[in-house]
Parts: sequence; C-alpha cells; structure tokens
Amino acid sequence: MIELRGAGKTYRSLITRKEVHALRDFSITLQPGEVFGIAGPNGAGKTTLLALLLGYLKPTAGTIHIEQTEPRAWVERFGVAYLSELIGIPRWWKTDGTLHRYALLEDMAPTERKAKVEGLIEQLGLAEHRSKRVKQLSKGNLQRLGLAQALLSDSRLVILDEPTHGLDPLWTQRFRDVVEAERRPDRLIIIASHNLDELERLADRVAILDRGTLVRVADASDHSAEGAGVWRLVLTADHPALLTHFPGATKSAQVRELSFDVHGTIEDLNVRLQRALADGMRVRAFFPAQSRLEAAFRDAVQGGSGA
Amino acid sequence: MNGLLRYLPRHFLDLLMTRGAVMVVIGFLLTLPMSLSGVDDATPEQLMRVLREALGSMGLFYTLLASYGLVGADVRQGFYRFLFAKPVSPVSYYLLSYVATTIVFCLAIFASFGLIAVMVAPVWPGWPALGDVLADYFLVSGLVLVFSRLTNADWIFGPVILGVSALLRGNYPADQSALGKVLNVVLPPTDTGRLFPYDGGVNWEPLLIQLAYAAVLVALAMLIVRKLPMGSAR
Repeated sequence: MIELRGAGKTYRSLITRKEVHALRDFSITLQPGEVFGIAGPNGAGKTTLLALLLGYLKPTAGTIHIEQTEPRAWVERFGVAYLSELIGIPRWWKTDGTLHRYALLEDMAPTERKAKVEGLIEQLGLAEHRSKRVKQLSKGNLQRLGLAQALLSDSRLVILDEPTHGLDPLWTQRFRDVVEAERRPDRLIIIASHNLDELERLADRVAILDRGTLVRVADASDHSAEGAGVWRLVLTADHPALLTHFPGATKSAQVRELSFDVHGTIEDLNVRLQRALADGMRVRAFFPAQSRLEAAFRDAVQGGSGA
Repeated sequence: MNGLLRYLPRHFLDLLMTRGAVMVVIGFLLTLPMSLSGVDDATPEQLMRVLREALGSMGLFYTLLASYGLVGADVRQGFYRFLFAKPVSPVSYYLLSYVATTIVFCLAIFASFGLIAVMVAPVWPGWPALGDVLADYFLVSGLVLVFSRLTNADWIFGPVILGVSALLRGNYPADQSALGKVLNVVLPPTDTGRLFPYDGGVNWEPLLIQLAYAAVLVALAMLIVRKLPMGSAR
C-alpha cells in the first residue's frame, strides 16, 4: 500500500546553507491489514516521516507512493484518519461543533454524520464536554477530541502520532481497544510513539529510527524470540534459598525491595520456578525485565550512537 | 468538493464571528471622530464627501483585516494538519475561503453604513463608491493572499507594493521609456482613477485591467498553496 524507496528529507538553511537531515534513505513497504509502529528518540524523524506520508512535506530524496500515487494526491482523494502530535483546532470551536465540521469535510450524509459524531462522543467519553470550547478542554480531553476527529474517517490509512500523549492510564488502555477495533484487512494503521510498551502491544512490526535513519524493523508479533534474557522475579517474602534456585539472581535496580533479576531461558526458568514454589517460595510476579522491543530499541539506538 | 461546500456556511460563520466582529469595531472607531465633530451644519454634499472619504479608509482597513493570514494563520497555528488530512484540496478550500471572506467584507461595509447612519447621519454613498471599494478590495486582498503562505507579515505587503507601484509609475510613465512599459504591465494598477464615476457609467478598460490583475494574483496565490507543501517552513 505504501512504498518508500530511499526517501529522505533534508532541511537547508536559506542563509548559512547548513543542512539538517531529518530523514535519510528510508526504504520500506507497508501492507494493508497491518499495524505498523514507528519508534525513536526525540528528533529521530518520526513526525517528519508522517508529514511526508501525508504530503505535508515533499521528500528531498527518493520516492514515496501510496497505491502508486503521490501522497498528497492520494490524501486529497481518499483522506487519512490522522491524529497529529500537536492538536491544532481553533480554540473557539466547541467539541461537538468541531466533530461536525470535520465530518462535513469527510463528505458524510447528514444522518450518517450525526450518528458518527454522536457515537464517537460517546465512545471517547466526551459527552460531558460536548458544549465546551476547545480552549476549555484539558490536555487529555483535547487528545481524545483529536482522536475522535481522526476516527470520523473511514479511510484505509490511519496515522496516529503519539496517540496516548496526555491520556490517563484508563484511556490509554481504552485506546488500545479502539485501535484493535479499527483493524481491518484493507486498512494500514501507522502509530508513532515514544511508548514502546504500547507499540509492542499494538503493532505487528516496529521501525526504529535514530537521527533520521531507519536502524531496524522489529517484528513485534514474533514471540519465538522470547527465550534467553533477563526476567524479573518479585517475591511476597524473602526466601533463604533464592540463590539456590536462581543462581546469579541480583536485586533489581527498581526500588521494590523483593524484586530480583534472574537469567535463563524460558524453559529453564519454568523448571526452576516450579522447584522454588514447591520449596515454599511465594511469587508475586514474574515477567521479562525488559520488553523485546525495548531491548531492540536500546540495542539499535545505542549501537547507532556507539554507546 | 460536496463536503467542502457543505462546510462553507460554518467556515463563513467563523470568519464572521472573528474577522467580521473586528471590522465592525474598527468601523466604530473610524466613525467616532465624525460623530464627535458634529455634522449639524454640514450640507448633504459635504456629508457625502466625508462619507466617501471615510469609506475609502474603511475599505483598506477592512480588506487587510479580512484577508490577513487567510492561508498563513492555518499553517502557523497548525490547523492545516487535521483540515487537509480530510479528502480536501487546499486550493479548493482557500478559494472558497476567499469567497467567504469577500462576503464578510461586503457585510462589514454595509454594517458600517448602519453605524454611520446611527452615529453620524443617514447618508447613502451610492453604488459607484461601493464599486470602487470592492475593486480595490480584490486588488489589495489578492496581493495579501500571494504573501499569506510566504510570510507572517502578509498584510503589510499589499499597501507597500501599492505605494511602491504608485511611486514607480509616477517616475517611469509607460509612454516614455521601455522600463515604464514593463512596469506598467508588471506592477499593480494604481493609476486607474475612479472606476465607477459618481455621475454614472463605468470605466470599463481600467476596471477590467484591475480585476484581471487581481485574478492573476489569486491564481498565483493558489499556485503557491499548491506547490509549497503545508508542512514546510516559511
């Protein structure tokens, strides 16, 4: 559906001619039906990449096509369900009026528009804020309004830039449900986020960007790699035979007192855990100390910086 | 396009509530001196002359208020991000926006007559005076629109270019030098005189030149909107 071939974006100062490479030699093919994540530290080029996909910027190198069409022409024809990182809505608009306005631009029939707007107001918990002006909304409510206007679209392309920014934990969880509900075989969902945990839960693949370069594409849906690594063991009470059952266990860096980092493969650790439980050890939690994506991200970014 | 047409009334109301309201306030402030100076002794002819002069000033102020940042404000404040993720062409959007702005401008001018009628005296300046104001609106707003995507200070370019044009046209008449001929074609028409004489009739040639020049400016502004991606820096 989307094909980037050696795409790059370089900003050049008019006076000093100094160049800043926001994105370099980015090549990838994205297919409908997948949820594609984009991760990277600040300034990695995530937002630039999304702006290129929307035709808000033109690449200075390479090509970008959506269904063999230039991005801007495609967007003007079909529209994109887009949530930007910065929510730009006129401050004097009211919540429901905002959604009706954007629904009009989606060219919806009046009955469909009303039903869709009301449904989204309900779904995103905006009912009590429907008459408020945008300037009166809290950050979280504004974010939900931004998400609502994106979801008005029935487009085959969904682009969400830092979608859970400003959302409380409850709405962050609900957001995941929303994304799952938006999955369709003919739809490509792209999510750019700092939140690796969120990307790991939602995305099928995650591109890791660092300083404008695609460092790695991690397959977030592949759980076969969940083998050797560091796992975190949290006990309800101290156990004298901890080191017997888990040789090399160390107190984890977390503040939690009875939290230990243990090493081994998942099979090996299961056997050890079984023995420890039989020996009277009481376990509160046992989970990977670091998500695979987090590890991939750290490796990719630190490897790139030579750290 | 249908969606955009259905969106237009709400966009028009936005413009009316924001820009139209400011225009009426400016109109009030411009009318206030006339009101305070008193017009009891003035003849109808004197009143008419004062009103027509006031209309000229109002026209320029209103034009700048109506057309300022028409494209640039959306870019500067990031409104374009959601707007043009919808199946909407920015060129169509801003052309319709310009139409809505023109209607707001006309309504503001008529509202000002109401203000003048209440605060000064009920005088009707006549359609020819209005025709001249509207023709000037198209020229100045066209100039502002060209610069709207390029700079935050678009409002200053219209009056400055018109001023420079008048100066250069005065120094280099078209019938005296090759440079004058070039300037006559390139620079906006500032030597047209009254397009709609008060005693009736229409000066068609300068009117058509002025309107054609304004149309070229709007087309140029739309070309800039088309070619310069919304996310690129100004």
